[in-house]
Amino acid sequence: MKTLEKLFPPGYPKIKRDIISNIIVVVVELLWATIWYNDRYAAGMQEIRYNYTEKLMSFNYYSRGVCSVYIMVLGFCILWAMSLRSYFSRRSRSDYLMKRLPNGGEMTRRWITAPLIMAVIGLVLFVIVLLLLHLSFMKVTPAKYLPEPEAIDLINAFIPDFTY
Amino acid sequence: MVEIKDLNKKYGMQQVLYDVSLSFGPGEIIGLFGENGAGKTTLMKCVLGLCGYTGEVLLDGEKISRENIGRFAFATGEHSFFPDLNAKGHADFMADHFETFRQKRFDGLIEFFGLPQNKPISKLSTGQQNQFEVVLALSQGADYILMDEPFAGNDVFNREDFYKVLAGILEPNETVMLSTHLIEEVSSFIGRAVLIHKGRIIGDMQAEDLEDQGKSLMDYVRETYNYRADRVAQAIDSITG
Repeated sequence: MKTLEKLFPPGYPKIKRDIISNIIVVVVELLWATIWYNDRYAAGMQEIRYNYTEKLMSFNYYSRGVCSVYIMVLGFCILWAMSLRSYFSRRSRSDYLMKRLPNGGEMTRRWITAPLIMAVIGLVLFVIVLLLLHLSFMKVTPAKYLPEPEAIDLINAFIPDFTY
Repeated sequence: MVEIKDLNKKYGMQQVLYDVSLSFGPGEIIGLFGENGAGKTTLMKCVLGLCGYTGEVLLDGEKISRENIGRFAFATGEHSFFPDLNAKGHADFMADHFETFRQKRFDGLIEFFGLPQNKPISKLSTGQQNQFEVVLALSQGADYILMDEPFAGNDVFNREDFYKVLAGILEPNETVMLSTHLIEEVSSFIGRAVLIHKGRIIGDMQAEDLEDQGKSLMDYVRETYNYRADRVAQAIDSITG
């Protein structure tokens, strides 16, 4: 806990609450992204079943929600950083004390580090989810319904397709 | 030695400090006096680099930077402490960041003011919060201690005792600049009076020189501000007449 406290403004009373809230946000967003993908994938398979189309769309057509949802997670991290920064001047002017410290980066470290860590952890989790979804797309989809090779290329999987 | 040279400060289009030049050295106790809005707080903030300005502020010939900022302490009157941290937590934080932090002085002053060690500072009264800010500033181990209205919210007995304690604990190399409206109370405590009016330094006098001239600090302030003694009678006349 002492190490965690050094990542936040001194005396910040809501460390546990903020961390738990952000974990919940990331987990909920990951679930939402997965459900979103499954919905779109199921709809794609339905279209094949009813002969509307012969093949599925590109992987990143179904997975673009994952990227959109991660942008929301980034947004939460930015809001969190702003809230932590404003703590130094909200109920007191502790920023006057922080700005006088010989260690010039101390104040920045205490409002940016935790949100940055959360953004990076979120990114790693989203990449893992994207990889797992790609794996499931390749394994679950019958070969005859798979789109062209360039549309299921793993590199392209990380580029959201918003053209449809 | 702190040297302030041709310091000008604007907030937007409003200029608040005009060509302020002032020097003060080790061991001085300076009273900075001026009406509300004269520029006392702004001057202190500029010295500490808490706001932008044009001009120069030097400490022993060097610009104020991360290397020498620790030689300044500031009791802002705007509560520059962490509201949810208690006194002990503040002491630990200060000791971590200022090598010169004086734990003994901190403990002694906390006891003198009777401040609780384990309560978040935001839970203290306004007067106690002001006292705590002064304790922090005096305990930092700085060479130059700037205090802006440090006695606000304190009763007269606390203030009188505090002047005596301050006079007793300050070391010869420690410099204090304090801004206050309580001219008569601090007149026996300070060694120099600097008067600021509408952003300009209009007076700067050593206490010894005032004594030699047979003047009190209040006389000097009245003279310098062109105080009109008849303004009270005129006001009463115009209101009641």
